[in-house]
Amino acid sequence: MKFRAKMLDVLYMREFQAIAATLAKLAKDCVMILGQERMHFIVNEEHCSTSSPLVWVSIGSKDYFPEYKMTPARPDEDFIVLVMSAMHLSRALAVLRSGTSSSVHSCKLKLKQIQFPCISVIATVVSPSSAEPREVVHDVPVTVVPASDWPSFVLPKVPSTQLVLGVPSLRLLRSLIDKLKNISPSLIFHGSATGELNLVAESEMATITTRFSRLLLHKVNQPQSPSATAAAAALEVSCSVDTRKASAFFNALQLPNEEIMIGIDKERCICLQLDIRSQVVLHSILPAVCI
Amino acid sequence: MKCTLEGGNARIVAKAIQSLSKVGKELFIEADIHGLRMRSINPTQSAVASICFHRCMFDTFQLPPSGDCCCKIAMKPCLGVFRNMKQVEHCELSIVCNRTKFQVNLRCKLETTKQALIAIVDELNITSDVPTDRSSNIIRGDHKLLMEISNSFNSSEEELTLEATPDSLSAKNYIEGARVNDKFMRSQLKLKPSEFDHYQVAEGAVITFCIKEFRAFLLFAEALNAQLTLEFEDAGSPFFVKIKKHREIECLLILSTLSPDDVSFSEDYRPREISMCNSTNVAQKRKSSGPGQDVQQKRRLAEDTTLSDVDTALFQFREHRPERPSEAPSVQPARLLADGDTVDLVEEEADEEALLLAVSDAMEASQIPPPGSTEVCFYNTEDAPPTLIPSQMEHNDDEEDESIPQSPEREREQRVRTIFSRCFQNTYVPREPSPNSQVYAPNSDTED
Repeated sequence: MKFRAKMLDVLYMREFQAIAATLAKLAKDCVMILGQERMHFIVNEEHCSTSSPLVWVSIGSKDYFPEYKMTPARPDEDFIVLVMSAMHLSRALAVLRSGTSSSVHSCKLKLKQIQFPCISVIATVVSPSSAEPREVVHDVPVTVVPASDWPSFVLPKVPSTQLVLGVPSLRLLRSLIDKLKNISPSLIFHGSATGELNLVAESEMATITTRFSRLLLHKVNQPQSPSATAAAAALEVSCSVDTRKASAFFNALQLPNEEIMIGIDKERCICLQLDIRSQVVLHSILPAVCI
Repeated sequence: MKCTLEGGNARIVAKAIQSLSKVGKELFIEADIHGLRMRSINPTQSAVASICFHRCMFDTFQLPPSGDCCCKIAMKPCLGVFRNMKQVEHCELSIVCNRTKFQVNLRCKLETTKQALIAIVDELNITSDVPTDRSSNIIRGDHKLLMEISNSFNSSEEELTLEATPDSLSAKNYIEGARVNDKFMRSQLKLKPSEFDHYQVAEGAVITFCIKEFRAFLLFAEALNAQLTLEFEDAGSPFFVKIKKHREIECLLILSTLSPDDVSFSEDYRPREISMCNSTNVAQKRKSSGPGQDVQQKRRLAEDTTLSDVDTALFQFREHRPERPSEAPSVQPARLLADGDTVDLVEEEADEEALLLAVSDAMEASQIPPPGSTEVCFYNTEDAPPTLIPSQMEHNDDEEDESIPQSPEREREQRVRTIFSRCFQNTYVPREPSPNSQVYAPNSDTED
């Protein structure tokens, strides 16, 4: 079982750090699934007390890592599955963020065995106060998940949704949901095929509807026959979710993206998707709640 | 003692106090012909910080006719006084009221003056006789560089290990070879000697020290925009951090390092020597005096201390105060670091709670319901070096003897230390602080 990867681009390193920081805000532990072509992170805080939703990130190894080598424990296996503290990973990568004060030459990730298995994050940093590069090493302890336990660490599937809308103002959405959290415990996402998204928060005293119009329609199901197309044009779906969960997701996001895709599966779930790069995608599922 | 400073220098003194406050909970102030010295020692007595301001930093500098003077004050009120120094244009420090109060006069903009009186807890000082200039390994670097090193470690980290070899320096939060917790993230930083302004390491050395006090000093170095000099010998021998600024300010932080035989400081955090004596006569007096009188006494103390909290004023030590020196000895008898501090330092809250529980337990065990009459003595025997009464004030003969002469006492009435004053009040319910003292049924026996 071997793994090593190397990043060289400052922008990519900063994005990778932002992903790790996002995960650290959502949950204590994260699952890292290393495949031949892709690297995945899953956070799923199962305790009811914390209100963070299921979030997973898929990273195409070619995008971020010019050097990426993964050898599974056995030749017939496809993955290495590791569990680690998201906080530790985020702290270990924090050095990549300091863009202005010091520049990072490279960052290596290595699976190592020192007393216990760990992912070594080795960053070569040049500080402005001196020309010499220095090496910062953080060993993030990990737990290797044996193949027999993999079924419980399967990568979630993106649920099929009737409607996917692209909302271009993520920052606005974040502060809005943060405020709505105080008004209503549940939040209704109501989307229509005409490119409209209504966010409805209801309390005994008031109903607050926020309308996002002229949104980019990414997907409408069943556009087969002309009659169906007409029906699809009039399609309206809605789903109510836990406001705290939604707020936790939006507050955790550390990425600079401004556009988010919101997929609505009628009264089942809200599927959120953030395209960081073509091969680097962050997903989240907010399950529906009954009102 | 009386000295005055201009605003800019007063801000530096304020910064010094802020960084010393991160080391210990008491501030030792000493004035001699060279200038003003402020010291602080940490509760585990593993670090002593000393910041010395040269005489030329002061506009006026008056020593008492007797020569040197020193005092110990609580850090908390001090921090309050030296907060918000932006407006200060002139500052005057003096010892007043028959050496019982430390007075701070701050003259701010718009003719505002602030006056603060801080109770002097004791007239003692701490010194160390560790030779500070014989280290073979000397590393000098800018505060920015050392700040970067310190910042690359988690703020909750307790120890830092420096591995110095002639051609590289690595800072780690773990000790090579020692087993760490499986959930512990190990971090290390490797630096080249060329990053430092001066790098003199003859032989390799590995030292482990507490990072908290080091960070406190870094903060002060940053305020001064000065360089730091790290000097050390080997594991187990003291580690020195020095800051020097134009010969006006000299700072020295002495940190004990982990000896090679020990495993770790953090595992070694044993309960410290705590002795609490309650002399019988005072206890009886307390019993005889009604609660009203008690309150009155407290109130008087509270009035006395303008800024300090009541707690501070109640810290009356039973130890005999050494007499003040009649002449000014330029060099104080130096002692080892370990027995330098005679003070029962203010405990951590956890310790206090533990003690409270212990008090209540002891009371239950002794079956004496009125708390005032109980004489509680705690001796935490430990094979640590014995704590001694300070001898540096000893003056009659020049010999540097370790034995402590019986010194005359202050004119003030002797009061017992009342750190846990509540325990000795009539209203005190011994079981109260215990969290597991839930009463499930009312007690039918009133005797108990």
